[in-house]
Amino acid sequence: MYKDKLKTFLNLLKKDFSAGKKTFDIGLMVIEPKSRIKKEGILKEVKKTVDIESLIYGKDSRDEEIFNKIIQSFQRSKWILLEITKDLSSPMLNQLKNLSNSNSFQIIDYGGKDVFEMKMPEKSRIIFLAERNFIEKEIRYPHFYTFFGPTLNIK
Amino acid sequence: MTEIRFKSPEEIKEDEIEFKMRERGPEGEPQSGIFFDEEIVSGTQEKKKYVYIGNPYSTEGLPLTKLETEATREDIETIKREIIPTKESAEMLEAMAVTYKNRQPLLIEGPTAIGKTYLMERFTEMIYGRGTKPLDFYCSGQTDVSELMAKWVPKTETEEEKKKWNEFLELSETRGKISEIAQEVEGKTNFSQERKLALIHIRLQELAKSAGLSEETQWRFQYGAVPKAMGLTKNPDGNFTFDELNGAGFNLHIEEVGLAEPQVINALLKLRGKSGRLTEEIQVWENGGKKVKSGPKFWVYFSTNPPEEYLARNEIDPALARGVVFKRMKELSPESLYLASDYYFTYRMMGEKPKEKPEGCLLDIYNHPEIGKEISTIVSTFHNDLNGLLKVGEKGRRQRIPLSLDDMARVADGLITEQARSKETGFLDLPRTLKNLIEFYYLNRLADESIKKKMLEKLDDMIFNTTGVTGLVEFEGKKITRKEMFDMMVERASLTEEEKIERAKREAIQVEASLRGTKPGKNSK
Repeated sequence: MYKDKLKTFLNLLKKDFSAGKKTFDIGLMVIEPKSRIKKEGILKEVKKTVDIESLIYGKDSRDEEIFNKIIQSFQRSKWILLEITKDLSSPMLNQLKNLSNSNSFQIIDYGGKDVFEMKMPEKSRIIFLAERNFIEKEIRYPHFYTFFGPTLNIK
Repeated sequence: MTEIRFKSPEEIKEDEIEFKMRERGPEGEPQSGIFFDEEIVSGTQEKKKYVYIGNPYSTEGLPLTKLETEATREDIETIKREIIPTKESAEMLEAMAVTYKNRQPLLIEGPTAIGKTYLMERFTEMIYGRGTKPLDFYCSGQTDVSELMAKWVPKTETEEEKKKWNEFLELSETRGKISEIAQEVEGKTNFSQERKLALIHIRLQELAKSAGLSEETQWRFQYGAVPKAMGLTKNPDGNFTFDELNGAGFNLHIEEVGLAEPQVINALLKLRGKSGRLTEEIQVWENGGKKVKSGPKFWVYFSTNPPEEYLARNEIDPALARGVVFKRMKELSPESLYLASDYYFTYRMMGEKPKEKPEGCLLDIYNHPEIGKEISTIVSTFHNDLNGLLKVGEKGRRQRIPLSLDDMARVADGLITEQARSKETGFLDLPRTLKNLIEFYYLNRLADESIKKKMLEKLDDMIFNTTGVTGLVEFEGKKITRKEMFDMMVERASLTEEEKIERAKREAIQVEASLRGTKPGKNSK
C-alpha cells in the first residue's frame, strides 16, 4: 500500500505536463506518529525510481551552505530529498516560497550577481521530509503546508 | 443649436478597446481586462508598446490604465489565457495598474486563495515580458530588518570560520549590539559619510574581538531587498544591474507583511513619500548614511492574509495602512470559485491540447468538457466545504491550511496522467482516480483525523450517494448516482465512432425486442 502510494506520489511530482498550474510542484512527505517506516528505507525506495540526493536542514546547517548544495544538485539535474529537523530561517523560507511559486531561486548578491536567479531544471524536483509532530510543534511559519503539491502520509 | 463634437482618435481607440474588453466568454464572464497595443511616436517614429488594463466587471464606464511595456503581443496573449477572469482578479489587477502608474505603494489584504501573488507575477510579466518575476521578499516572524535594508557580512575563507561567524551573527545579542552601533552612527550628524563608515568598521571589529573572533576579518556591505529594488535595472539580456543613484527601479513584492515584527514595519515606513507616493530616496545607515534613489520604475506591492488567518496576530500596522493604497479583499465568491473550477476541469487554460495521450492517460479528458463540468461541481463543492471546516480550525494546531485555487488546478492536472483503470469496464475509473488525487492534494495535509474522515464521507456521498444526503443527480431523464453517470459518460467518451454505431445498433435491437416481448438475438438477423 505504502509503496503504491509512493509510486503515485513520485508520478505526480514527475509529470511535466501542466493544464492548469504552470509550475512544477514541491513534494512533502509527512512521517506520522508511530510510523515504523525508517527514513533510510524511504530514501532507498525513492532511489529505485528517481535519481535523488538527500540533504538535511538541521541544527548545524547554514542557509548559504544548503543553498549551495541545492544549487549544485540542480546543476546536475538531480532530485533532492531535504529532511528538515529545525525551524526554517527567514532566508530559507524565502527560497522555499520562491521554489514553490516560481520554481526558481532568487538570491540577492549571490554568485557575483546583484540578483542571482536560477530556474529549477525540468528534470529536478525537491521533496521535503518531516515528522508530523515536528511540523506541528516546531515550524513557526503558519502556512507551511501551502508550499507543497502532493503530500504523502507515511504511516 | 446643438454642437456636434467629433471624437479624437484616442477616444475612438479607447472605445474600441472598451468594446473588446466587454466581450463575454462561454459562462457569460468577461474575457479579460487586458489589451495590447503599439503606437508610433510622432517625430521620432519610434514604436512603443503598451498594455491597457481595466476592470471589465465595472458597471460605470471602464476606466483604462495605459502602461508602457516591454512585453510582446504574444506575451500578453499568453498571460491573458493564464488569468481566470474572476471579479476579484479584475479588481486586483486594476488596483495594481493604477497604483503602479501613480507610483503609489499598494497593499492587498485578502485570503490565500484569491491570487494575490499569482497576479503580481503576471502583472510584472505584463510590464517586463514573459518570464520576468518581481523581486520577492517574504516576511515571517523571524525576518530581520537587515534582510530588507542592508547588512555587513564578514568575508570568511574556511567552512569552520563561516560556521563560527554564522553562529555569532544569529545570536539575538549580536543583533542587538549591531543595532546599537547603528544608533551610535546615526547620532553622529556632524560626521561625513566616510567617517561614519570608518566608525562602523571599528565598532564591528571590536564586536568580533569581544566574541573571540578575528578582528582582522574584512567586512562586505550588502544591500537588502528594498534599496536593491529601488536601484535595479533589468537589462535586455534578462540580467539585472544595480546603481544606487541612477537605476531604473523594479517591482518589489513584500509578502505576508502581516507577519512582520514592529521593527520591520518601521523600516518599511521609510518607503512612504509625499502625497501618498513612494519615497524619492532612502538613507541607509549601514552605508554611513548614503542615499539610494528610487528609480522611476520602482514600485512596491505588499500583500498579506487577514489577521484571522494568522493565529494571535493583530491588524495590519495602522501607520503602514495609512501610507499605502490599502485594498481589502474578501474570499472568492461561490460564482468565482465555480468559474475557476470550470476553467480548470474543462481545461480551458491548457492552450494547445496534446495530439497524443500523455503517459498514464486512458481517456483524453481534456477533450471532454461535459465530463469536466461534472467533476468541477464535485471538486468546487468539496473545496468549499473543506474550506469552511478548516476556518473553524483543526484542533489545537499552529499550522493553518488555507486552500488555494492551485489545489484544484493540481487535481485537474493529475486527472490527465494518473488515471486508474476500472477492473469491471476496462475504461477510466473516474471516481477512484478523483478520490486518489483529492487525498494527495487536500486530505493528506490534515493532521486532524476527524476532519479527514468527515470529508471522505462527504466525497463518497457526492459520488456514490452512500448516505443519501447529497442525493441522486438527474441524467438524461433518470435519477442516478454520480458514479453511474461518470461510468456512462466515460464509456461513451472512450468508444470510437464505429464502436458507438455498433452499440447504438445493439441498443435499438434490444428496444425493439423488448417492445415485441421477445429476447434480443432471435430476430436480430
